[in-house]
Formats: sequence, structure tokens, C-alpha cells
Amino acid sequence: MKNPTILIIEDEAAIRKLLEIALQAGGYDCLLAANAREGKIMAASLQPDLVLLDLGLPDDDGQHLLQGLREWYAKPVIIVSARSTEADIVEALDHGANDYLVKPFRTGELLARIRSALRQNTAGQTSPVKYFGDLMIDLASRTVKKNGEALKLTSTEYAVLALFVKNEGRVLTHAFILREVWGPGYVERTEYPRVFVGQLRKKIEDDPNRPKLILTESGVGYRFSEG
Amino acid sequence: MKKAQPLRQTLLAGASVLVVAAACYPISDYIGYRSVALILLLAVSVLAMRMPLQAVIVAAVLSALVWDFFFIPPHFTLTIGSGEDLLLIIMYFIVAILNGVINARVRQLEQVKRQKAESDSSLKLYNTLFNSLSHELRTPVAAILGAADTLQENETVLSPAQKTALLTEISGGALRLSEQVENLLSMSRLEAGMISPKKEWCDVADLLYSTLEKLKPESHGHSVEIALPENLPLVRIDFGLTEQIVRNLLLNAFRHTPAGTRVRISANVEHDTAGHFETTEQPGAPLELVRDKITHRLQIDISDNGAGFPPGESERVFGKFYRPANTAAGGTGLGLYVVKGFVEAQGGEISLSNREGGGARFQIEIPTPVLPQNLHEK
Repeated sequence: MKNPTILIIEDEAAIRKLLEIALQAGGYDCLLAANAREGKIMAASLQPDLVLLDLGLPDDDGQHLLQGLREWYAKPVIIVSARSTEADIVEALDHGANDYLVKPFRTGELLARIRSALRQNTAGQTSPVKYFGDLMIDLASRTVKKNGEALKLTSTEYAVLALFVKNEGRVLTHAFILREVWGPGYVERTEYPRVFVGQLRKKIEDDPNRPKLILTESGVGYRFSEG
Repeated sequence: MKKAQPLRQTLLAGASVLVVAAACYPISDYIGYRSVALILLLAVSVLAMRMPLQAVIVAAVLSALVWDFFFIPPHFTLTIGSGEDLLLIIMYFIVAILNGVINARVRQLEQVKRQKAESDSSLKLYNTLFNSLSHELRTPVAAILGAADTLQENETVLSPAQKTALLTEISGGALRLSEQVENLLSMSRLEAGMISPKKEWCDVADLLYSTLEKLKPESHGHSVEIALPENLPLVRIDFGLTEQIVRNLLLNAFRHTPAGTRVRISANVEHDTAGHFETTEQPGAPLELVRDKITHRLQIDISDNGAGFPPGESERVFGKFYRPANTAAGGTGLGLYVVKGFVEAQGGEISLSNREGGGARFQIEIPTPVLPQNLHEK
């Protein structure tokens, strides 16, 4: 089977080289772009399976490039940036990025995020039944089982969990969760996701204090991910 | 009394001379008018010790005139009867002026010396700080460069175990460097006043556990216990800043206490009894009214059973580039400075004490509104 192809849009030659070696070692084919213009052309013509995007590019703002890409590119985009403010990250996620890593980051972490993003993109779109460890979620019959035992979830808890499952591996901002589950009028009610994620963890996690499925992304939101 | 109000000091000097002269007047017949000159001279000398030169000159001239006018016979004239008295008044005048001049010089020299000593000690302090900072930044760079060079140049000679050791050096050095850079960046953000907390509802348990989880690789040899009450309400704080606060305090405990040390994190939300926050505990008040009122204090307490801090240093530890006197390596001394800055940016306070039975204890309090966790379904 052909290796997945990853487009690296990064202006720093050293980081580009490093990413290329790390990704090749991880079993991916790499395409390299040093600026936004090249990146856009390569993404359009070569249709990579995933884009790694640096936000600080010389010829265009990364956020702007991301918005442009998202008009026609549906595959995962992971932000790799030295701009670490929460506001930048939230903006990029709102513009359609799947995930982000703040420089400096560990290569192992990068590969894990890429695997997770690619899995989300290809994972059995056909089956409504998803398994995460000992947790089973049937999106068709709206049932959730842990270790074969049915869990009693409130309708809001189920709505939050279903949103996470449909966006596996993706970082969901608080505002996104509020918009999707409660509606556009509720984006300021940042207490809701905290409360319902807390309740969900008590039901689906082995140890709600050390969650393995719903992970906290500090100051940004949550990520649903297996392992 | 420094450069302020020279006119007032001059008037004060003149008045002092007049008071002394008036006091001498009734007794001048008993002690003799020449003794009065000595008393006046004494007064001028005392003034010269504290007053600026111009005030001393005024006092000297005035006292000479007063002595001549009121005391030297014939009284109430400026006429001087004898050549001896003329000589005396000239001598008097010279001694008084010299007194003023010499005193002023001495004071000036002392001040220069003091300033030099001050600037010497701040230069010394700066050098110490700069040395520790450059040491902390250069050591990891040296480790990374050295290990990378060795790997490059001795590719074929090195055993796999040696290669692994060098690679561990590289990643360890880079991690340390990264930590220092983060602290330096936080410091400059603090100093530029660029920290504006983004207060959002937070689950304290989630914050503490997720921060600890990320530090797992660094906590080797230390056991960490988190103690929280049931049903802690949500609080409105900046998640990122608070995470960094807890992270720095934990790293501090991990690095500066021996392996096997127990670290304990506890948190609580207390109703603010200090009274300077509004209390809105009306039962049944709509959430919208309650949710933004600061009525409580989030308390986070991080303690260990290590050696604690040297006594008397509980304030200094939060200073920039602080390091306890007896520690050799590790840290730029910015971690706790950043912690205090981030606590205060959220309107909170932090204090350090030594636990009874040994070990350091950091206590943080951040004012916050609270929200119970048992929300109803929409």
C-alpha cells in the first residue's frame, strides 16, 4: 500500500529538514513547501493526505492560508507553530485546523497526532458503531456500552459524546462544542462543556481524574482520542 | 534634609543662632562675652554638621554680627573697642566658615562613597545573576553541541549504548533549555505588562490532574498526591496561567528535593470572609446574576516534605533570578518569579512557608466567582 503523503509548509529550512526525516522514518512520503504560495499550489496539484502548516510564513499569514485551503481541502491540517498564545491556536482551530502543536515539540508527539488525524479521516465511515478500548458507541441506535454494559447518558451528555466521536483525534474548542451542542447563542457559556465533560468522564473513563479518552487541551478545548 | 528647601534651612540656621544668642544674653555678664563667642561657635559647628554650606555661612555671619552688636562692649553698636576683640571676631569668623566648608566636603565625600558602594553592590548582584543565567543557558547548549559533535565525528567508533547516552544528553539539554526559554519569555511578558488573564470557567480537578499528567516524565522518584474535596465548584480563572503556576511549583519541588520526597497538592474554594468582595448568596438568585460576582477564593496549596527553604527567605524566593545560597545547579531563578507574576495578574496572592516537620509549602489564593457543578439539562 502506498504511504500516506504529507505536505510540510514551513519556512525554516532546518525545521523542514527535521520534519522530513522524522516523517519519512515514520513511514510517510513528504512534500516540502517553503512558503504559502508554493504550499497552496502543491496542496492543489498533489492532493496530500495531510498538511503540516507553520503559521509564521514569510509571504502570507498562516491563518489566511488555512482559511483559503479549507475552502476546497477537506483532509486533516495540523498546525505547527511557535506562536503559542491560546488565542492564535483557537483561531486556527476555528478556521478548520484539526490539531496543533506548539514548537518546540517532541517528534513522538507529532507522529501520534498525525496517526490520529489520518485514522479519523479514513476510519470506517460506513459503520455507525465505534469502539474505543472497552467503550462502544452506536451512533445509529444512540447507545453507549462500557465493558458490554449499557451506560445511562442524559441527552446532553450523549450529544457531547457523539460530537467527540464524530471528530475523533480533532481538537474541539469550547466555542465549537457550545455551537454544535447547545446552539450559536450559547458560545459564552463556557461552564457547560466543563460540567458535561466532567459528568461524561465519570461515566466512560476508568479513572475520571486521569482520562484516556476525553483529553483536556489547556485553555483551548478537548480532544477525543483513543490512547 | 537633602536638597529640599534650602531657603527654609537657611532661615532655620539663622533662627537657631538667634535663639542661642538670646539664651546667652542674660548670662553673658557671668560667663563673660568671650565665652559667648565659644558657645555661638559651638552652635554654628553643630549646624555645620547638618546644614548646607550656604546656611552655615549665613549662620556664621549672623552670629558674628549678633556677637559684635549685643555682646562686645560697647553694646548695641557694631563698633569693636579693642584690637583683641577685633582679632577675636576675625578668628571667629574664619573658624565658623572653615567649619561649614569642611563639614560640607566631608558629607559630600561620604555621599559619593555611599553611592559607589551601592552601585558596586548592585553591579555585583547583576553579575551574580547574569553569571547564573548565562551558566543555565550555556550549559545545556554545550551539552547538546558536544553530544551532537561526538556523534557526528565518531559515528563508527561509538557503541550503541554510548550513542544512546549521547542522544539522551541532547534531548535532556534541549528540554532544559526549552524550560529556561519559556521562563525568560514569561518574564519579559510580565515586565512588559503583556499578561492579561483570560478568565474562563475551569474545573480545578481537571486542571491539577492534567498538569500533573504532563509532568509525569519529570516526577521520577517523587510521589505526588492530589487531595480535593468532593463537588468542588467551577471557578473563573485563566486556565493557561494557572496551569503554568502549578507546573512551575511542581517542577521546583521535583528538582530541588531528593528522590522519594512526597509532594502534596490540595485545593479548596472558600467563601471570602475578608469582606472586600460582594456576597451574593441569595438562594435561588438567577445564575446570570451570580456568575460574575467574585465571592470566593480559590486556594491551591502545594507542599513537600523536603528540606524547605532557608529561614527568612520566604519573600526573596519570588525575586527575579533568586537561588538559595547553598544550591549549585539548576534553574535560572525565574520559575518562582513567573509564578508570583501569574498569580498577581489574576488578582491573587502567593506565600511560602516551611511546614512544621520540614518541607516547603506554597499557598495560593485567587479571588473568583463560583458555579456549582450540578447544572441542569437545558
